Amino acid sequence: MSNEMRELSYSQAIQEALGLAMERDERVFLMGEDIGVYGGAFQVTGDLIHRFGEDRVMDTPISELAGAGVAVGAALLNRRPVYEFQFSDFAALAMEQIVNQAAKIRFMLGGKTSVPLVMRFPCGSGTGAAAQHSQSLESWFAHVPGLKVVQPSTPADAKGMLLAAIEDPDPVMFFEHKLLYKMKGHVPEGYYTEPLNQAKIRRQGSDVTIVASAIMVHKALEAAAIVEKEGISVEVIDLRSLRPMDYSTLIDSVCKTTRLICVYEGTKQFGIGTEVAAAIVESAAFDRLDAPIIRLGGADCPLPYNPELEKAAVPQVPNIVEAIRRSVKGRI
Amino acid sequence: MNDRINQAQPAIYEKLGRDKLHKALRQMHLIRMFEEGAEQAYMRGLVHGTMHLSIGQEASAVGVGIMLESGDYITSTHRGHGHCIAKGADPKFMFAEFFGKDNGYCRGRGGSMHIADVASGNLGANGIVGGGLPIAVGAALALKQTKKPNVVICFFGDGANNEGAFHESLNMAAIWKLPVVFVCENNKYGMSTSTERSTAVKNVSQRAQAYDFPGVTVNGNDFSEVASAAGEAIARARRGDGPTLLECMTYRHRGHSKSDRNRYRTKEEIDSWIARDPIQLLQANLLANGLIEDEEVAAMVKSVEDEIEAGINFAKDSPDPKVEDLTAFVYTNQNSETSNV
Amino acid sequence: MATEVIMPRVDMDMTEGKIAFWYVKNGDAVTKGQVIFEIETDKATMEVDAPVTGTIDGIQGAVGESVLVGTNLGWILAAGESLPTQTPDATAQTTPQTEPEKVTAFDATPAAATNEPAAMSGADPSALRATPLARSLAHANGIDLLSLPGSGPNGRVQGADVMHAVRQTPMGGDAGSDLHLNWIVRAEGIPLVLLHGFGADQGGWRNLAAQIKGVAIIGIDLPNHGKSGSSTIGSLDDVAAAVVSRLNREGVKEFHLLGHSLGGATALAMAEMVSSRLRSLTLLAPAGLGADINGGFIDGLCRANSEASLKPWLAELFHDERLLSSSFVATAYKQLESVQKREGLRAMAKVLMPDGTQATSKRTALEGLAVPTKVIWGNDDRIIPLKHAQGLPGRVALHVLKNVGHLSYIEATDDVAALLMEQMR
Repeated sequence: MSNEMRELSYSQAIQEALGLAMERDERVFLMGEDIGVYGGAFQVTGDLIHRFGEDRVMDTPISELAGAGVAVGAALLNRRPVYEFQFSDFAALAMEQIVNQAAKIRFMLGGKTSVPLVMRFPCGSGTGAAAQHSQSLESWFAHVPGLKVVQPSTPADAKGMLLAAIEDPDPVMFFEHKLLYKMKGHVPEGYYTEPLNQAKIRRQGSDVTIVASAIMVHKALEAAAIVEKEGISVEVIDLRSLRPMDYSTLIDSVCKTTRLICVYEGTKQFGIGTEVAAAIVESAAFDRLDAPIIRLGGADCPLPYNPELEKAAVPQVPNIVEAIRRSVKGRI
Repeated sequence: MNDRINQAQPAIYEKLGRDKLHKALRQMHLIRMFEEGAEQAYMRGLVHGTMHLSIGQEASAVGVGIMLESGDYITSTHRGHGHCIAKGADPKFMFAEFFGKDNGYCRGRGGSMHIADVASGNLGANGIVGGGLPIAVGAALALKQTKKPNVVICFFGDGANNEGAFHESLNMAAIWKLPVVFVCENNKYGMSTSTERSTAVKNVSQRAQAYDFPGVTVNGNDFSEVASAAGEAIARARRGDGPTLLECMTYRHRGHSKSDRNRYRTKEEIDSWIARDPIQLLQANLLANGLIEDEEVAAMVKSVEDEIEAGINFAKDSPDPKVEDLTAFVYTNQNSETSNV
Repeated sequence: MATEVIMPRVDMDMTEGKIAFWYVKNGDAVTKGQVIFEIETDKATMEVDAPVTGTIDGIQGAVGESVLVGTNLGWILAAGESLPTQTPDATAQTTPQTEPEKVTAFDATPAAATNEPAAMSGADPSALRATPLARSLAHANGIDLLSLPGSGPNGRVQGADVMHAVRQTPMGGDAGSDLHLNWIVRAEGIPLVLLHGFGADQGGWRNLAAQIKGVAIIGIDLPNHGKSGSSTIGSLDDVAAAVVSRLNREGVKEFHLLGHSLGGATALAMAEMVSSRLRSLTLLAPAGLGADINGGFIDGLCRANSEASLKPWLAELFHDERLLSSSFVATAYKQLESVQKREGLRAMAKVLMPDGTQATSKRTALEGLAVPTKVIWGNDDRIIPLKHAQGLPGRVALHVLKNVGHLSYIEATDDVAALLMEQMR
């Protein structure tokens, strides 16, 4: 299999993954609103319907609850459904089937079956879609045992992790930040998987650890480049998976750098960084902490419509830069 | 609906044959005695939580169940003990599950509301009203995708017919012409709220019109009516003609759950339905038509009593799950997915 | 009124578009809904139609040119209208990305009107503030946190503050080990460390040291002795650890070790702890090899209230009493002058040598010791009996000195010096 790298966008990488999965395994099929000839609201499914037909690329009515439940039922009979929510916010309509059914059936049945489905969620703010179309709800799902929750930040990871998610015998919630869809990156050709339980160190550093996910990984990397000129060395970790979370990579890093900043788009309180901070404090890294842990998360309000307010509602590069400086210079 | 004992032989009896009719009657006795046994065990403090008994609804469970083949599937409700038995579940493993034992159907993790046996086509009782409907539609989609000649029976109660999931599921089953039969056991009450107060239409079956497929209402306490209508709906689904909504009018003798004080219905109403016991109706009909003898009935009842008693003893002697296994069965590849710090 | 033709926004996240094709030119008549130009976005090509019927004029924007959403591209004029003289600025429907981004409050202190806990609030102003890292570094290096200035906010002690303190004191010793250390002889190379016995101090090594050539010599006062401070000793290992710690602080890594009596037991305990750092081990009538010890002597030493009551006990140390000089007595008595000193000695004796018995045996320390080891004993030792030297491992050299008591380094200084020189060859 060729390992050539070429540049694909995040959404192209996902489309490629879906196509490869459907070629390889006839049990894999797609469901979602407008994913057929329309190509998907974010053009992710594109022309898959022309390659695989409407029986495998199924347009659903606007019925998120039943759509999610159909995925559960089909998965129970060993099909491999990939259900696309048009916006992650619409998960609210399907919570019953996701949380009460998909997450729990295996456990409630004493391990005698599995629910091998994938649900894909375009998420995140920055497009002016406002409060009901811009949320980052990953934390809701990471709170539920029985689900897996992943959030790749690069095209290569999007492809590999989606293929792994489709192979995975348990329900995987796959979050795709909308602003990443156009981002281009090197993507290996052919079929490959990335693990669903490993964080990745995107940048090595020694003065402070930043743990981030999705688009915040890229903002953190930008901030790290800026402060490098001031002699500050930042280690940036891309979480990639929220559940299961790769705690040991985080712990090792904080033991090394002694400082931690969590950057995430979801609401700050009860969000991803809250879990990371608590886990670090409960671990061997506690005795290595030389500064309070900083959480940079979404503001305590629904996502606003006005573009300046929208930007102010989530962490931006200058916020991260400022937090790095204060943490490293011992001023917090 | 005609509640008078119909002594004439229904056509379905000939289709089923003597053996299957005996099997049906035995199953109904088994369900009844299972429920009564479970109730007794509960009152003795052997059962944690609560339970939702289907005493009085045996004919709809068995009438549908007897028409199924082994490759067919069911989804069930929180009042699903009867469905499970009608789909072939073994009472002793059901009792073991109620007692929270490690060799119950769900290894003690699910309890009464989540009894399932996926391998034999029972996709499970469901603790959420309306929770099983989309799942049944999904299973039917899988059957269609794999070109299997099988069907899914989706049991639900009158309460579920006002859930959004009901409407979304019927619509999806219709547009994709899926092999699912929606069986509504209308026992007139969603917990304490009567259908008159909760549902905009007089009969749940009317709602099938909104989704442009057949809706049928039958006397849910008449085994032959249920079996006959079920047979037609199942055949329609197997043919690939899509779903049917089959409404079985019935009644539950007991309250909604063990904490129900029956404040919402009168004693007269309850008694009038008890007088129309579906098991007695079938049994008398079979006797009258010479399809069973008194001695056979007595032997049948005795064997059921024995089976229930043995089942309860089996459950009492079964091992408890280990506390160390608390977080087992959450994920399929458990060790590599440990998320603990 | 003239109707503006602009670059429209067609995708949710579109900020600019490229003109792909103009279907009309200035002066053409257009009808509402007629396609007038095509644009390229990231997603696809889109046709844009005329918003009203009229005549199109004032076309701007060349093919291939990328313009911001909302930019004016022309006008559709009704009959009799003329082009507006002032083309308005691009009515930006989206904010251009070049605006500097305002830094908003994303720090640990909460924004207004939230119910988040204020970070780091509720701290007791008098309490020690130190990061977990500072605490663990201080503990590992024996630094007293309370004595450190903190460079963090509100005087918080941080890791760097502790490491600064550690670097000031060489080899970071145990804070409790303020043992007195004297370089009796300064020289290059691996030093010889001398450990005195109970009730004595490093001053007694002067004569022996004078006979050792070309070697650096260190004398250490054990806890509660000489110029060392008082400390509570729980065991022989405590004494040994204190000496090791003091040597660490002094930067001494490898050394030759000689111990007399209690100092000998200490040396044995050190051999167990830091055997890899020993070059040789010499024991003069060491404690730690058996149970017997002259309890009367120990008690007498601790009880003596005058030189007169001390002298008879000191006599026990010598084979030849005549060697017990008055200066020796005076020096010995000086050790006990302070009540605190005497209490410290008594407590130490009680722990290490209770009721005339040695509490700890360190015989096993000699087993498997790879360095040259000598045990030197006077045959008339009335404090710790010579018989303790029996049964030692074969590689240990035993030297029995005739007509010598407990203080071989005084009664047979030459012999001891010569044997020591052999050890340090």
